[in-house]
Parts: sequence; C-alpha cells; structure tokens
Amino acid sequence: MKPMLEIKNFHKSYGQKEIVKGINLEVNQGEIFGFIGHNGAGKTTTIRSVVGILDFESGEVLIDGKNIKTDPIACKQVMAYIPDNPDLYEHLTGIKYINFICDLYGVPNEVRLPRIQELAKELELDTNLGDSISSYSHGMKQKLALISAFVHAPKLLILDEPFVGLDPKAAFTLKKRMRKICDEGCSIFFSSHVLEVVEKLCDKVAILKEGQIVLQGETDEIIRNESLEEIFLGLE
Amino acid sequence: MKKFFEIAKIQIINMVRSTTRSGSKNSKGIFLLVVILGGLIFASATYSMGIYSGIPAGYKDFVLYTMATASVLIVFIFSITTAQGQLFQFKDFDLLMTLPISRTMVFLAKVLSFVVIMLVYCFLFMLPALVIYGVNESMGILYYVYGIVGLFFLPLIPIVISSLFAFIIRKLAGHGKYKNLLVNLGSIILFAAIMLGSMSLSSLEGTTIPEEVFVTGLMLIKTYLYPIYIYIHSCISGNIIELVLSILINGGVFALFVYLFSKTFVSINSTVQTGYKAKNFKLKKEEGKSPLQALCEKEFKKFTSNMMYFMNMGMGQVMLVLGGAYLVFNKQMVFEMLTQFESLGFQIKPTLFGLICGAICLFALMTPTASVSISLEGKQFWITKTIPVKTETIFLSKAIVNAVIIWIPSMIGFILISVGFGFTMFELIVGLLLIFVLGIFVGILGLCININFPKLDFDREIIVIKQSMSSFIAIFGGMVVGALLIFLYVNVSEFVGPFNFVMIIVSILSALDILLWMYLRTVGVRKFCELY
Repeated sequence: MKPMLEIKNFHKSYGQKEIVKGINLEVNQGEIFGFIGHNGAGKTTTIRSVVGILDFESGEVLIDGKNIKTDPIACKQVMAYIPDNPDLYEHLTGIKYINFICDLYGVPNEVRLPRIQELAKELELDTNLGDSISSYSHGMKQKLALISAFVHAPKLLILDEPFVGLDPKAAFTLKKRMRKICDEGCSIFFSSHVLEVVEKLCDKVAILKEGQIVLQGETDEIIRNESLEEIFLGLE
Repeated sequence: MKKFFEIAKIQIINMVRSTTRSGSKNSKGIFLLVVILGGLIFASATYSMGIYSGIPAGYKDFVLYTMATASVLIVFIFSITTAQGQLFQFKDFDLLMTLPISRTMVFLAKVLSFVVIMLVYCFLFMLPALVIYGVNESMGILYYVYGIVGLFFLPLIPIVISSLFAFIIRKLAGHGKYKNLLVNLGSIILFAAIMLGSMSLSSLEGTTIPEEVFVTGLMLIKTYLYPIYIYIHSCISGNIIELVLSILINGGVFALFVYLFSKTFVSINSTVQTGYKAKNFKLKKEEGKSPLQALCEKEFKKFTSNMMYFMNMGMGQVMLVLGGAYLVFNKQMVFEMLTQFESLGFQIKPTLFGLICGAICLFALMTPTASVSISLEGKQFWITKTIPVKTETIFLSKAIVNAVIIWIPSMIGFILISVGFGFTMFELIVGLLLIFVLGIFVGILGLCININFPKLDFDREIIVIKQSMSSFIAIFGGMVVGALLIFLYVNVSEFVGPFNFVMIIVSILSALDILLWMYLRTVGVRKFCELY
C-alpha cells in the first residue's frame, strides 16, 4: 500500500527542551491511524509540525511522497487539518468560510454545492450556515471545521482531538464518515484521549510517551487479551 | 474594596503587558516604547514652546489653555474607539460576571484601566506645556502641585462623553447583519462632525486680529469648556477653591456615569456578544474565486467588520476625502493662505500641488492596515499556515487590501481637488502615480514591520490594533516619515520646484516598493514560516 504520511526520525525542541525525540511512523493509503499519549507527551507538537505550522530541527515528514519542508504547497494541497480547538474567522458566516476554503483548495464550482449540502445535512449544520461564526457554539464550530476539511476531498486528514465538543450524534456521524472516506482511499491520522474510539476505529495505533513512541502497530495485534485502555495505563 | 483593587490591578497589568511583546525580546519592545514616548514628549514640548514663543506678552497663559484643550480633544478621539472594546465588548465578561463582586465594581475596574491609558496621553501632551510655562514664568511649587493633581481629573469628562457616543452607536446598530457597518458609519459621522466643527472654528480665527483671537479663545474656553478653564486658572492663580471645583465637576460627572452605566453595561455586553443569525437560510450556488481574490476578500471583510480596526487605521482616509471636499468649497480661504507663500517667492498653484501631495502622503502613512494584519490572524493563524497558498500570495493579499484602502479615497480626494483648483493633466497624472506607489509602499512597509514585531497571543484585537509595537511603529513611524517629507519639501522644493520634488518622491517610493518587496519575499517568508 502506498504511504500517505511518513514521519522519519522526527525531532522537535522548544528552546533547550526536546519535546519529540526521534519518532518514526507511517500511515498508508486507506488507513486510520490513532496517535495517543498523555497530556504534554508531544502529540499536538508532532501534528502541528506535520501540517506545516511549526518548523522542526531534524527528521523528515513526507506527505504523499512529498517533503513538507521543501514542497509545502503540494503537501498542503492534498491534506486537511483540524486543530483541537478550531478558532475560525468569526467575522464570516459559516457558508462564507466554507466557500473561502473551497476557493483556496480550488474546489470546482460544479461539485462545491452538492458536497456542502451533503456534509452540512449530515452534520446538521445546514440551517446555520448563514449565521455568523461568532454566534456558533464550540460544537458547531467543530462541525464547520469538519465540513471545511471534508469539502475539498483530501487524500490525508489530520485531526487533533476531533471528538471534543461534538454531540453524540455528530460524533457517530464523524466516525462513520471517517471509515467511509478511508474505504474510498483517504488516510486519517488523528490524536485522541477517547481510547474506546481509537480501539474500535483505528487500523494502526502509536502510543507516545515523553516524546518517544513506546508502542506502535496494528490495533488487532496490540489488543489481544487486554483493552487499549489497560495497555495504555500499563505503560504509565 | 480589596477585590476591586485586585481586579483593577489585573486589568491595568493586562493593558500594560499587552503593549509590549512577551518573550526574550521584551527589552527590545520596552526600549522602542521608551523611544516613541520620548519622541512624543519631545514633539509636545517643541509644540508648546513654539506656541509660548509666538504668543504676545500678557497672553502667555494661553499656551496652557491650548494644550489642555488639545489633550482633552486627543483623549476624546482616542477613547471613542477604546470605549467600544473596553466597556462594551470585553472578552473576560463571562469570568468577571461570575465573580463575587458587584457590577458597579466590575464596571469601575474596567473604566479605571481605560482611564489609566488616557491619562498617559494626557500627561504626554500637557506636562511639557505645564513645565515650559512654569519655568518661563517662574511659577512656584503650588503651580506644579495643582497642575499635576488637576491633570489626573482632566480626561474624565471626555472619556464619559466618548463612552456615551460609543454606547449610542452600539445601541443604534443593534445586532443585525449590518451591525458592524452601522457602527462604522455612526463613527464616521461623529468624526466628520468633529472635523468640520474644528475647521469652522479655524476659519473663524483667520478673520479676527491676533490679540482678539486670544480674548475670544479664552471666552470660548470659559463658556464651553469650563472644567478646562477652571483647572488652568486654579494653577495660575493658586486658588484652591477653583482646583477643588474642577476636581468635583470632573469627578462628579465621572461618578454619575459609572453609577448609571454599571446598571446597563451587562445588557449591552450580552447583546454585543450575540452574533448575527440568518432567518430562513438557503444554500445557493456561488462562483469560485482565485486564492488571491478569496484572501483579499477575507482581509477586506476583516477590516470593515472590526470597528476598532476601521476607526484606528481607516479614519485618516475618511478625513482626507472630507478635507478635500472642504478645501474645494473654501477655495478663497486656501488662496488667501497661499498668498503668504507668494511673498516668499513661491508660486501659488505649484505650491498647492506640493502641499496636497504632502497631505495625501501623511494620511496614507497613517493608514497602515497591513501593519497589524499578520498579528490579527491570532488564534486563526493555523488556517493561514495550513492552506495550500504561497506565503508571498498571503503577503500580497494583505498589501493589496491596504493599498486599495488608500488608493480609492486618496484618488477621489485628489481628483476632487485637481478639478476644484484646476491642476494640469500632467499634475493629475503625477499625483495619481504618487498615490499608486504610496499605497503599495504603506502596505509592504506595514507587513515588513509586522513580520518583525508580530503579536499573535492577545485577548482582544484592540490590543493589537492600538497598543502593539507594530501598530505603534507603523503609525508614529509614518508620522515621522510624513514630517520628514514635509521638511524636505520646504527645504528642497525651493530649488527643484514642487512638481519635480513630487516626481523625485514617486521615484524613491517606487524603488522602496521593490526593495521592501524583495525583503518580504526572502526574510519575510522565512520569518513567517518560523512564526507561531
């Protein structure tokens, strides 16, 4: 299978303090990869570096075979990212924001409206798209960020704590869609503290502890007799 | 009372800290702040000295009345925009409302932090005048004591009036789809009224003989600005009753304002914090745009939807158009003024052309919207960092929006003046060329400043717009460049002529546009990538 995301010997420091100490992982086409670890383990730092927000000292990040450092535009064109707390442009309405994202990713006019309609209906945000984002609740902003991520049909989706703030129905819809798009060839790399979801949803899992991967592999191979939660807590 | 002081202390610390950059380069920020404040005190002292020397004997105290009025006017103008964010749109509203402290105390703590900032402006402009007058007139220690004590109360009434205006504008705007547009429109009307009012006063002054100007001026201050009059008079005469009366008037109005508004500010803030909700929204097909167009549209919406941004960075352009229209309708007054230059060997028309170009430069330099545009990305910076668009395109969109904000009003104003005063076609073209390169210059220069002094971590956007190092450097730096241009114009245009002087400036600005863009494409892009 073609690797969509390759992280090789990745190091990241803040000043003198090394946060991520040489991690290696690979997300193949069609895979859902769960990235777990305790608070401050370096998950968000890794994710932010992978998507091009943060610079990093050494190592290599390849997205669809292209290097994020040397070819950032090509990398960003094929991926979508949602942070743990998606702050969006509050002065825009929901629909203006989605169209803004569509314009930047070059989503063709003919597919734009049906895609927005489908996603907005699925996440139950269709009647609120004309409202100003400043009037949205946290969960609604999260839903809008999800629509904006799915609307340009990325090959790789990188999500940081995607289930935080979502109501049960939206969380269920998201899980269903994540599986669906991966079956269609997309890859997903996401971090989460909800270990039950990771266990059920992910094809592969990596556990990060103090900047190092302490366990990585196929989810089925990792959880044989114990739950992911027990394994995770056993590593503490 | 202890709780109140704790809250007030935190509010003031927040406001002061937000002025400088956090992190290792804090000392650099503080140094620049000191340099700028020093520059302002120097400018204020020079201005006060100039007025003092120019006033005939017997009317020297007029310098104090003039500078006190100027300080009050400055506080009034600055606080119109600050009041919107500080009193009616503050981010820690939810937190403060849940604390076990009365609403009056919360409101007073908010107002107090606002008063502290306005006091800084007041002291910057008034203190040099107090010292200059005191030293030259050999005033006693009581004069200085009264001067400083009274000064603490001087900005209170303008703060109250501007807060009332801010409140009325907010109330009228409501929270519909066009709320921001209405707030901006209301503010423009208010500024236009202030500007036209001061212009009418200055035209009245021109018709009176010099000594009568002082008598009339003093009468006007005594009648319409009584708290200012009584404060200055108490300092000069050493009358403690007048000083106490001045404190009571200023303090009383302020106390009444705090008492009344502490009852309504909760409902105002609740209304302001509710965003617009559309009725019966239906999805429609929209035409796609290029990434540059989409980014420009987003930037422009940001500018027009944020009242603080619009008022602080765009008001110069509104004033330019209004001023242009005023000059055209008062042509005779302009020609009378310029006859003074004629006696010095200058020709009226070319001199007018040079002066108008100078004014356009000054107003454009005071419109550096791009100088805070990177900082204003704030918590949404992750979007800009992850979109598949070159950093140069992001820079270009911000520079283009700044340039357009300068181009359209400046060109309207200049064409209006060109037609009104009969400039030649050649002058019209050169003037428009100047506006074109100037707009690009201000946009790119603003970005160069902002990329070196970014501030992405802030609680409220007003902190970036009004108090960040980047906006400070851009606005006051712009004023310095404007003053430098005027200085050069006065000294160089005599030899080369106003028209050739403007041509030289156009050439210099064009070269600077290219150089600064090259800087942005190299160093700027690198700094942007490192930023977060």
